[in-house]
Amino acid sequence: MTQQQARNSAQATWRANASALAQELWRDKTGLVSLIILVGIVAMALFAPLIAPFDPAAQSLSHRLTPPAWLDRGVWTHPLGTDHLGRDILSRIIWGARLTLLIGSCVVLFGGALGTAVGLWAGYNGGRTDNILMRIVDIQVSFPGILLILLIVSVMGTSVVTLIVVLSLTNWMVFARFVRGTVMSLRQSAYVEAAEIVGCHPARILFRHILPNLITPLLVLSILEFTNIVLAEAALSFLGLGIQPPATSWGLDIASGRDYIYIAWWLVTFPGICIVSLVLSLNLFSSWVRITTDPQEREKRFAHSYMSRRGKRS
Amino acid sequence: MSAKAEHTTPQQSPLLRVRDLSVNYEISGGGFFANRRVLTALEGINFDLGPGETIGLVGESGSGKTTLGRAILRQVNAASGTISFDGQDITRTKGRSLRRLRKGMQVILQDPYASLNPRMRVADIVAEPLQVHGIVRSREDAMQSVLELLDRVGLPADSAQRYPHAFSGGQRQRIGIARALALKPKLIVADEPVSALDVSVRAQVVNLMRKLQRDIQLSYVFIAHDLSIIRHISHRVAILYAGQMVEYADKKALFKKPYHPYTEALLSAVPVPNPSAQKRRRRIVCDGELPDLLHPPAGCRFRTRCPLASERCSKEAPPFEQKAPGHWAACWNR
Repeated sequence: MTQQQARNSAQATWRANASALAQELWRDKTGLVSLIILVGIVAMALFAPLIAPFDPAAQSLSHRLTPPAWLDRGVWTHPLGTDHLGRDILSRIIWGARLTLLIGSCVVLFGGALGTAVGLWAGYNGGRTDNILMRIVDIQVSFPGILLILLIVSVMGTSVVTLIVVLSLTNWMVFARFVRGTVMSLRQSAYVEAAEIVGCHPARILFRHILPNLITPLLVLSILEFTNIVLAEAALSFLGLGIQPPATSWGLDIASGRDYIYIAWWLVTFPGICIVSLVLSLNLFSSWVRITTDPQEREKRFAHSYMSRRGKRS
Repeated sequence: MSAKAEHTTPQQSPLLRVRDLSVNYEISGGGFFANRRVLTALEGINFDLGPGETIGLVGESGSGKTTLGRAILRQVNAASGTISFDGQDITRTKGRSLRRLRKGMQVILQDPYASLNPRMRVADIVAEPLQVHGIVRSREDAMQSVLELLDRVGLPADSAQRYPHAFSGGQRQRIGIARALALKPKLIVADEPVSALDVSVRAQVVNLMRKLQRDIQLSYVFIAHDLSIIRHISHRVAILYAGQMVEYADKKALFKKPYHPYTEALLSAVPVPNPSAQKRRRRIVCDGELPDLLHPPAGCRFRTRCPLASERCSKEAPPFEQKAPGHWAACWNR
């Protein structure tokens, strides 16, 4: 009975928190719009087989380089036109979202986790551990990435998994360096010293005191890296080391459409718009998340919205 | 123990005993192959502190007073000498036993704006020591103790659910005190606990600390550069200069008749409330700066700024000796 009550009240507070959060999002229109775009892109990727009008790999050379529907020679069967092999661009964008999102988020996740772990360990321990780990990072940074990629690809063969592994291995160093620097300065901060004197285990200090104060900058860094990775994936695909046709991604489409940029601008423009809107809404949404998760910023925003509401009323 | 170690009240067994404590910092010479040089931040420190007592550590910036506090808390390692706490030698304690030791000694830090994690609610900050040491099982269990502690330091109960930035400096320092009290420690090292606060708030915090001392027999190591606060709270006072103790006495004796010229200079800088008395006072000014601790002057370290300095001071360092019963100082000319 009491357990039931406790569960009910926990559910009630959870619901109250969620609705408060939704209200906060509703007031911040930038955050709201960016979230809607993100949800749209993710939904597009998830339901690609249902919404794509054509098979993205189906070629039709008689319809090659058809312009978008609203132009002179355009037809409404191919609303965004076709590419140099007569493949429907809309369908390719819808399907391409899958791999773009999958690779970008996996690489940020794995590379970010690896880099953050190394950075936390090096920054917190300092001394010899720090020296060794950071020299490894230096070596990795100075080692030409493309060489490493060639090596790994030739051993493992081209596949999406290989691509994720390769990009994680060439992108984690940024996280390690950044986290290490921030941890070193946070380590000197008074509240970390206070936690040490309280008797916290080093692991608790790292995960309760240092990591939460890193989340905000890490989020920003991850999103910047995400854009890098989308472009890196495009470059690799262009070199034939990344996504292999008939699979498709936005980056690959841009890379292959590049040759036709003067006669058929729509080949690169639409995937490009997709990448830009993805990255832009990620950025805007992450800034909303940053403010929402930072208690100090949150208070400021609350005061701001409160004052503006009062201003309207009077 | 050496003779110079006996400047304590013998009737109480000390809670904290510091003997011949030295602390070194390694300074890298810049660059990868440069020699590492050693800076002696503290040298030959001795004192005892009984239960329910306060020792005031006074000195200017760089005198080593904060280092001494950190050494007692085992945040820096002693190069030589011993520190005993509650009859147990803690000079080399580390790891798990050091964390267990934290139950007995806590800290109040100088900057109340930096010493509280901005991402934790006050309830979590104050409850953390209880959770870490397994005194309570969960946050819910801790709430009762948290509310008691907040009440004890004079904060309203609804502050528990708020974040530190919602509080003023004085209130934040109270949160810091509540956190320090959570484990019911015997000793609190207070590192300039009020120097970052407004003058009007200082008295409140100091009075709170005194009240707590009376209520639960706390001992304080009270670090300050402000003698008027030291006079208010300390039982005994140690004056530090360039990493050495230059004078040590009961508060009354020290303020009445200082032996060391440095102490005199410090005392002359404390204003008195009566303007005409203030006008009549002779202000002793020490020119110059604290000596470079990498190359301390030979003999007495204070001689470069001392109005009494003589030939002898530059040849031999003066011994730390008893000038009057219970009153120790290091000076050739007094």
